[in-house]
Amino acid sequence: MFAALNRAKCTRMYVGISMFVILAILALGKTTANAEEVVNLYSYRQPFLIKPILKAFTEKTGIKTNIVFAKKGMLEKIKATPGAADAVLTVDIGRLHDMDKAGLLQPVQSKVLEQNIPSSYRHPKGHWFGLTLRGRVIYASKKRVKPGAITRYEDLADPKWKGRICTRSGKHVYNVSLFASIVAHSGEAKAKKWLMALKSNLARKPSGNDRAQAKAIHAGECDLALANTYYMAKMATNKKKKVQREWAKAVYIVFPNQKDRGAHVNISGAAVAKHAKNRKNAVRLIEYLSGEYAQKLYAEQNYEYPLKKGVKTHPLVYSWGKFKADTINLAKVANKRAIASKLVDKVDYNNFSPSN
Amino acid sequence: MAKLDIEKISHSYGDKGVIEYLSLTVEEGEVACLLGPSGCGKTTLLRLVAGLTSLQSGRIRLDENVISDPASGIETPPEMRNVGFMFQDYALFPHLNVLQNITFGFNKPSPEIMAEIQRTMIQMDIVELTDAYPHTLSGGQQQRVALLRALAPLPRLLLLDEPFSGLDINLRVQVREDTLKLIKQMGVTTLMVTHDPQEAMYMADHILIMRNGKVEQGGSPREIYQFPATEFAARFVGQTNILQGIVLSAGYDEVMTSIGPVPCLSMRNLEFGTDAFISVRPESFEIDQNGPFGAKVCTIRYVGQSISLEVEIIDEIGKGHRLKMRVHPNLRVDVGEEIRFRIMPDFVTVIEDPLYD
Amino acid sequence: MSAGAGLNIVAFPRRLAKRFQVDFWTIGTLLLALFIAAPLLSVSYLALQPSGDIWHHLLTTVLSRYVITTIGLMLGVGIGTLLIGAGTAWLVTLCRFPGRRIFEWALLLPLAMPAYVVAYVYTDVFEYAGPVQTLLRAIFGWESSRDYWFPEIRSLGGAIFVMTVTLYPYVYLLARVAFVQQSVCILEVSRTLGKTAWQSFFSIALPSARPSLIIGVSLVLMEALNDFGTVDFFAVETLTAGIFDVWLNMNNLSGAAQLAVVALCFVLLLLWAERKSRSNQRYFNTSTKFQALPSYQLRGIKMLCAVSFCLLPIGFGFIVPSCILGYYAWGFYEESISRDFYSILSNSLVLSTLSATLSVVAGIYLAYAVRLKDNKLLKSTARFASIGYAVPGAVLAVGVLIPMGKMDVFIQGFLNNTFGISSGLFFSGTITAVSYGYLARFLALSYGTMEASLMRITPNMDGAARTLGLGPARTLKRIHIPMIRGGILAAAILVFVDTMKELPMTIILRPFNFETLATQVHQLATDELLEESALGSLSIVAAGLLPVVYLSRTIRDARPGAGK
Repeated sequence: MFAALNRAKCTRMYVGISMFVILAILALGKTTANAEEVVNLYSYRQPFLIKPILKAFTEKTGIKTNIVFAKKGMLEKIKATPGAADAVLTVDIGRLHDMDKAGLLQPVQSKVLEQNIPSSYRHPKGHWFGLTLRGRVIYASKKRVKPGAITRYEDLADPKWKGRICTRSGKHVYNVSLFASIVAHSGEAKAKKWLMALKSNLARKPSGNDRAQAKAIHAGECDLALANTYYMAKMATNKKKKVQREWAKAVYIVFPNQKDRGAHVNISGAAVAKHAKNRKNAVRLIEYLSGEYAQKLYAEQNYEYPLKKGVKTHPLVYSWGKFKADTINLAKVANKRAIASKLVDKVDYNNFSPSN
Repeated sequence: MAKLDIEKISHSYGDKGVIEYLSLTVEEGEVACLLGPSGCGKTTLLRLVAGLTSLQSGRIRLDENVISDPASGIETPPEMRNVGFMFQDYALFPHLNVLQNITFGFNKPSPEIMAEIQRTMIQMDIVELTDAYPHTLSGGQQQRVALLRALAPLPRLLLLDEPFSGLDINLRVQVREDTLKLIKQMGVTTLMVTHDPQEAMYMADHILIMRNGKVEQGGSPREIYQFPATEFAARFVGQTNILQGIVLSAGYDEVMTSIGPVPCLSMRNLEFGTDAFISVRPESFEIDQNGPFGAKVCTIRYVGQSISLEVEIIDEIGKGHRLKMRVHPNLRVDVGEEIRFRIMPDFVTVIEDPLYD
Repeated sequence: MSAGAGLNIVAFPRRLAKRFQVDFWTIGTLLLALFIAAPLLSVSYLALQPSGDIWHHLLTTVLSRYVITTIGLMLGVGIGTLLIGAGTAWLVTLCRFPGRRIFEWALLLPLAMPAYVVAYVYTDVFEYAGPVQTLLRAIFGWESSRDYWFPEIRSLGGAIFVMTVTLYPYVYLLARVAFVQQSVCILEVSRTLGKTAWQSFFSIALPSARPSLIIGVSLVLMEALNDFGTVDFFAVETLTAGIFDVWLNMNNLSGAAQLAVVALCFVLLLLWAERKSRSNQRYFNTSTKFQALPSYQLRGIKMLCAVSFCLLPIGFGFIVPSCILGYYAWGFYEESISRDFYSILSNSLVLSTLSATLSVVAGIYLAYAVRLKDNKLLKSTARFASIGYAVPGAVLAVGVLIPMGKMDVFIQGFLNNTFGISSGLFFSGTITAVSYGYLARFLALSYGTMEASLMRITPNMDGAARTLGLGPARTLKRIHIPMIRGGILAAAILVFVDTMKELPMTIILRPFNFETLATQVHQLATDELLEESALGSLSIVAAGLLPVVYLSRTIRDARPGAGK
């Protein structure tokens, strides 16, 4: 009697479990097979930053956008699931370059794109296109660093800054990219010497994010830091967080190397995947992203420098003044990333401790 | 009910052999008892018979059904053997009550079976525990539930692993009696394992003394006690005195030992003049003023139904030999006193040379 | 009871069926384990590809530091979680002191806290510019960091601290299940032999709970090893940090896979060493007598010590971080509550339930099959399948992508060629891929818990059920599953809560337009918007809370026979 009861209960439980599993997969597994016009995006850029732009795109063209965002493993995902993605959005030349090298991108010929984007910020055969620009610059303490006291990345190696510089991890993609540009310009040996000197000037173990460096300057922990341009604007305009506005107030931006090669810049960009199923839509999207409206949104919302000529930067960004950007081919810099990353290991950059 | 045949089985864990080339038979309806010290492979043997451990070599049959025979790839799973197993720790299912435990072996017990179980529960005085859970039961109650659970599906063979070891001594005697009664009433063929000779003697029709994975000796309790084949067997089922000597005459049934000629019931067909060891049970001695042996009393233990004495007897060359003897409790004797006695042949037997193994 | 009505058995066809079932468990285990281990095997396959001069570079520069840091982290976190987990479990199970009933479940709370969120929060509090140091500077008039010493939170020590206070519940949970289910007899025996409560803890309770403790600690160690979020934020260079560096900065996936395999060998070595040291001992309940647990009333200083010993980990692992998060969330409510918050929440809940169900079913099947067959090959296969937990999630996700992508391409091609249908991606385009990834990642949690639970059931229970005519499957259903209910729930909830928090695999394997609470939190947190992500973090915590509390209650009642 008991046994029979038990068995009935168990059977019901098993049926329940299987039903649940199937239903869950059906309910959440919205497959992408669909007749309507779509474009499928793999994005390194955070969706909430481009959602407004994508919405405007859909309204204008009737093309629906599907997006999935990730920072790691995207290249592998594109490789493993050919045809799943039509276009890729990145925030960094490095990823575009890696994907291009892996043969995952396809050439695009587009009059619109050629017109909108300066040739130095797009692949010669149209494998990828830059959309916005940002600089990796020096944040200096208003209190303790006189204007003109530092003008070049190379100056960071000057012993006078001993114990006064903060950076985030030397392995962070932003720093690796900057170091790679130094390698590209000065060669590995010089870059290594420079990096060693920079390390010996550090005030603390490399850590935190870009904002944390401004915070450290504000707190008096250090006087100089490496950071991206747009973080300055994001902190200065932060409505809710008064402290961040104060961090921003404590520092000013130094665009390095204005008298020679220019400040190191990086791009956010887009590319069409090799096995794109909706190639036409993907191209239309990238064209749209390079267009007036999208570029304006990029500039206003994320404080980046739009690449389309004639599109204004955010007033705050504008107030920092014009700067000369390094014109070196970005693919060349990207090529040196592995070397730069190894240099960080060789000089043991992240293992800094104030006592040594 | 069935007859169990175990033929030349061996089993080892890793390279440590636990059972070596062992054979035994349990006749239909018989209660057989494996007796041996712990670690001699008794429990493994039971698990092999039940199919809980797979057999490595040899053959096990229940009547004509071969249930284990690795050579021909036969290995009936335990649930198809219809063998009842009562574990040393009872292994009652803690999440089921007493009745659920007992009827566990049935898909849907018929009303007749339920009535039958009910009757047996009354007989065993556990009927009021029907809805109780195992952890609320006393040791004796748990034992009875476990026994009934093993017997309820009317197994062809019942295996009992140290069935009384979890009980305290006072309880043990009663439970032993009840268990034996139930087993005999059902007539189930039983193979039981124990390290307690008293228990084995009480329960078994047939005792198998096990040592190092082998059966050292098999026989009825009387045979084992009266005619132990080895010193190990002799000592395992009780106290004994081992003496060395020479067979005087095959027909004459006497062994010449250092303390003098000792009459002996079983000579194991030894030739005249051969060296022999004999086992002399403490019961073999009879106090007799005119007896051929004289000895000095060393210790006295009065235990009610008998007196255990340890005496020293001096042989011809002046060497002392200690002997244990059990005599009638009416004897009055003091330490240091000289007594005279003779040896009755009934509990004296020639054993295998203890140096032989 | 009359004789002679015994069943007539051993009919030929049934024996044949029986034979088939033997294969069902063995082959089933092998297939299932292979299926679950496929991502791991893909990672190993990647590791076989040439990786250039990466090893020369690593060996001459950072590898030794990676290894030393990793060992340091594992040692610190291992010892810390063992002390806290086993100690608190013992206290709340066998001692009486004020608040014990609350501590019972509250000690599990940090389980719901993602370690990387705790890392963010503590950095905010303890760094140079944070409130603590600012206050100290204000009080003592120090000018800069050169004037005083303060422990650096962004350090190995900081990582050990954060991981210890967030991961100890694994050990606590398993230890508590073990102590509660532990037959009280052995404890009593040792007490009657004249040992104090303290001595019997060390000489009896601890050793007999050892398998559970080992499994708990090894789960913690695997988690510490696979963690990227915390070590990255603290700039602690473990093997995992190295894996990501080689993979992403040096664009060298096979080199990264090789490092991951090295890390795996670490774990295998540990497990092997533990097994060796335990050799052939097995721990089962020595008796089936279950009685009320004894309890020692603590008073005075002992009571205070017990209370603070329980309070501290909860404070650091849960109360402090959630208060700070609550404070942030309060100020940034509007920013964080998005329109599709509820659909995101339901995504998380459904996915976690799905993942818990799959892992537990697979865990029970494998653990029971291994117990049933007692076969070394099966045991090591199952163990290997459950070792995916030690691999960083993102790397394992790449391992999932490869077989899934292959199957997708195959199915697509097949449908296209035979029916002319152009289909979407069956697996990688749906949550199947994520669920599969979770299974590969979290099997260790359920398998380990199941293994520990089953180990506490004496094999005589199996024997009893089998000789009473039940096959292996029905024995599992009627004996083991009811008896290890507590363990099953523990496993289910561990997986549930871990899936809620899981990030790297979700991000890589999810379908288009799919968000969970964790990905939402991550988005904001990576954009350095900790405050905006606070509400999301809190909802992860909240969603984990209910099951955690429920779990604790179930464990209390999980003693066989208790409460009946």
